[in-house]
Amino acid sequence: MDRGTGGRVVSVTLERPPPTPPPLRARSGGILEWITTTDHKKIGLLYIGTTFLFFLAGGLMALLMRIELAEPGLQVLTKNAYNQLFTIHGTTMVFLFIAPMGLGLANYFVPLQIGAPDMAFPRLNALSYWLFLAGGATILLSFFASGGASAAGWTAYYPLSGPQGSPGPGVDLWIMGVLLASASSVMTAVNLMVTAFLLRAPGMTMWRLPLFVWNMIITSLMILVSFPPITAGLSLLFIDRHLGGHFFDPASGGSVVLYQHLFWWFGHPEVYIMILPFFGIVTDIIPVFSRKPVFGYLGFVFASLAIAGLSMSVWAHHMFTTGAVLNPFFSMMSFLIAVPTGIKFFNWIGTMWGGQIRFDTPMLWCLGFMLNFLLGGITGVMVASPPIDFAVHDTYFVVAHFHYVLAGGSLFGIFAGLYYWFPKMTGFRLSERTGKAVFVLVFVGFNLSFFGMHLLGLRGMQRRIADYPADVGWTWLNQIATLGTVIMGIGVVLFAWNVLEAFRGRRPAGDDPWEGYTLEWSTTSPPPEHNFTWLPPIRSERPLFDWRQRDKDMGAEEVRK
Amino acid sequence: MRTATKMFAFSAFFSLGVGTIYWLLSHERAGAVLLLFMFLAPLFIACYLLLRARRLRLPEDDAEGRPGEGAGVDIGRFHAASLWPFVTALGASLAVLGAVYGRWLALAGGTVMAAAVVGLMRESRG
Amino acid sequence: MRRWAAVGLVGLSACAPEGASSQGQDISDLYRVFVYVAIGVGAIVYGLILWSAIRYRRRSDALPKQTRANVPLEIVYTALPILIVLGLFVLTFRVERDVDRVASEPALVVNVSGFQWGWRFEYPESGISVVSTPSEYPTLVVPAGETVRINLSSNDVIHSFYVPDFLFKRDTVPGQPNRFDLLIPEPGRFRGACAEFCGVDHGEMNFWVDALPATEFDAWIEERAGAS
Ligand SMILES: [Cu+2]
Ligand SMILES: [Cu+2]
Repeated sequence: MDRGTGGRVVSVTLERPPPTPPPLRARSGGILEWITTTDHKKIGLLYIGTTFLFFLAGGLMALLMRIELAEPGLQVLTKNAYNQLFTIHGTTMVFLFIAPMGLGLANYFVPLQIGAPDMAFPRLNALSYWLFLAGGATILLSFFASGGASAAGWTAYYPLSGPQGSPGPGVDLWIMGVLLASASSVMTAVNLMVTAFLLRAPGMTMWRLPLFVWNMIITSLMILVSFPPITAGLSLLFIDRHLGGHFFDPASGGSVVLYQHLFWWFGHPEVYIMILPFFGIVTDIIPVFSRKPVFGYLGFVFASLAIAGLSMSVWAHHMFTTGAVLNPFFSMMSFLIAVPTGIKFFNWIGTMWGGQIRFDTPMLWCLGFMLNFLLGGITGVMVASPPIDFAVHDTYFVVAHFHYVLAGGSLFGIFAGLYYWFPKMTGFRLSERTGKAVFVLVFVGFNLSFFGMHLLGLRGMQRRIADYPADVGWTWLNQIATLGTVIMGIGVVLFAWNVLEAFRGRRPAGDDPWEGYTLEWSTTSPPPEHNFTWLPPIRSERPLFDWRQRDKDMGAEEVRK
Repeated sequence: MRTATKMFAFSAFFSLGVGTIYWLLSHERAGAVLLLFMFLAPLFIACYLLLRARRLRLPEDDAEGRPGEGAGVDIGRFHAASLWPFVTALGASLAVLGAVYGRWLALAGGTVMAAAVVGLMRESRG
Repeated sequence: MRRWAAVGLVGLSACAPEGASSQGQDISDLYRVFVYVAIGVGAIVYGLILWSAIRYRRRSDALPKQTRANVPLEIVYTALPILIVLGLFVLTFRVERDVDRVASEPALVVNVSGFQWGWRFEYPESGISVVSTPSEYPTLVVPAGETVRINLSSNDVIHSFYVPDFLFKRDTVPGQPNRFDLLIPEPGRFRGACAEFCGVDHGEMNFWVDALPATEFDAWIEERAGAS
């Protein structure tokens, strides 16, 4: 397979591993190399590193808020500072951590999993990353703007985000940051789709794609249809703020509810944009550690497609209490989304059933993912019922629900992916013992943080308040939540240590530490430029498993002779 | 590519169905228009794939394909390194900051971006 | 197993507050059904996950049976959830219809408007107006046992009229008036708050709802109407 590479030609010899490892092209690791890189692996690493830093920033904001909420009264923050913190915390976790972490991991592993030398449009890929970084920097640095960062909530509802509601430049910087980040996401989505459709290795038919790749295709589809309306909506918001527009201003014939439609048209699919990549990762990991193929491959793909379709038609379940939308329609569609999501659980259970499950760190995170996400899914069905939503909307019940989905689900999926692929990306092995300690801390801390919030919500504690009365019985639940957040924070710090220690310890990981199934494990760790010098024949969704079995069968035959 | 075509066609007609039901039940315009566009956009891609890529027979889609088939097919250029994406993003971020902090910044950003796009194009040709 | 399930049921139903309004009671009943279904489904799925994690942990290097799919089973686990959610939808639909029903002739109409950061309760029939003051949360006084129409509006940003004990909230949306009916069977005093984030003092937009016996309510109206 000869592929023109800007003058140079990568030639790939096939069928048998080469006797010597391929020479890594030695180049200076200077900053210019990172700025000019178009290598999907380097861009992937940049994404993963940057999003992780944003995660630390967003986590720090959460910690500050939890410390403030540990006691009634205002101790460490002003109300305004608190409002800025939850606005930017939400924005950071959604736009700058979870979604782009999925895209970053996809950047690194989609080409590897399909046997491609790079992404289809490497320079566009680099542009995506730099736009994302610019967007993130704009949002986070807006804390230093005059008047501080946006304090209108990550949803930036009009009129609160309008010229009277939020006069300072905070909201403007927020709009611009989100616009940059969403432009970046759209570009990456196009890039991923074209890559997955056109750069697959021969024999890698669509129905042999690893499920992570399938879910990234479907995630990209959702990005393509959901981001343009938010881009339009935020542009209209900017026009209303500064250029005399009245799109959302009811006094001049605009509609406040229109903003919510545009926002949630994007906002709900975004939830699935943030979870599907990690469904994919978990579904790649569980079979490997259960030593079985995934149970119900086709069902899984169709379930993902159904989620994508349905998730575009449930947006107004965030607007049940506005009295302005057709509640039963959105309620029914939201209930239906539980069905394909449930199918995935049965895929995972069916895969583990009868297997030989090894609980190394990646699999532990997958188990945590399933346990947490299940509760988030169940409460999701509850809040999809408008009367129940009348009770719990905008209370801590909803906060608990979506943190079980996004932190208990996506974050655990991210950790699963990082522990699974760290040896591939760096060539080094993480300490399993430290990894397990990180898991225990984060799992316990997470559940302490968020389980009690269901009760807080049922007892009437509304979201987005810096202070609460002392006589309503919310204090002890808030204290437990704060304690949980601190434990989670310790877990994250220990994770950072885990990574640093692996770089210092330099224990070689080998090419295939987990006996993986997919093509990324057939190349070196880390993979060379343009990824492969050898590929096994691809006859199923687990080419490497087939290849190992063939070796074993041949070995057995020789023994019999 | 038939799977891709089907996927886009599915999204298009799913939205058409949902959009029709939604409009009939609610007569609410914002959502109906959004769903209409979610019908048209994937439909456009599906039609393009149907017309353009029907004859495209990729070795990727050959279930018996072996690694090595398709060798020598020019699938495009992979630029090893380029500074222009970085510069483009720099220009773009200056331009949007200009929308907040003043026209001069937008002008500077626009200029940088234009220069970077020219750079990208020259690189592609060279 | 059964004992634990019973403990769980009691615990969870305890955290479903009883609705203090008749609409809230409907919602509370619906919530309880959802909790029971959730416990049933959760018990099965959690049980399956934990069972397979424990039972099938690695014990040998033997390659397990490579099962790829089981179509009848997949049909079952697709169809059953569809039936469950259809059932839940029917219940939801009926309860929402009851909760949103507005009487043609309510006993009392109150116009409630939210503003940054307080509430104004106006009684158009008697000309009474109650407004937040910097030192005190306002009280919405209504008769117990009678249907009260609440009209919601706002002139600045979106707020949300929320009384936890009624298990109910509805947004006050600028340019889009909302309304709902409230029937509080027993007299009582309930805490209310703004649920939609509306700026710096969002957390301070509290109020009280006093449901008075009919005679006391009439006396209150007389007193206030005379005062103004
Ligand atoms: Cu949603
Ligand atoms: Cu308010």
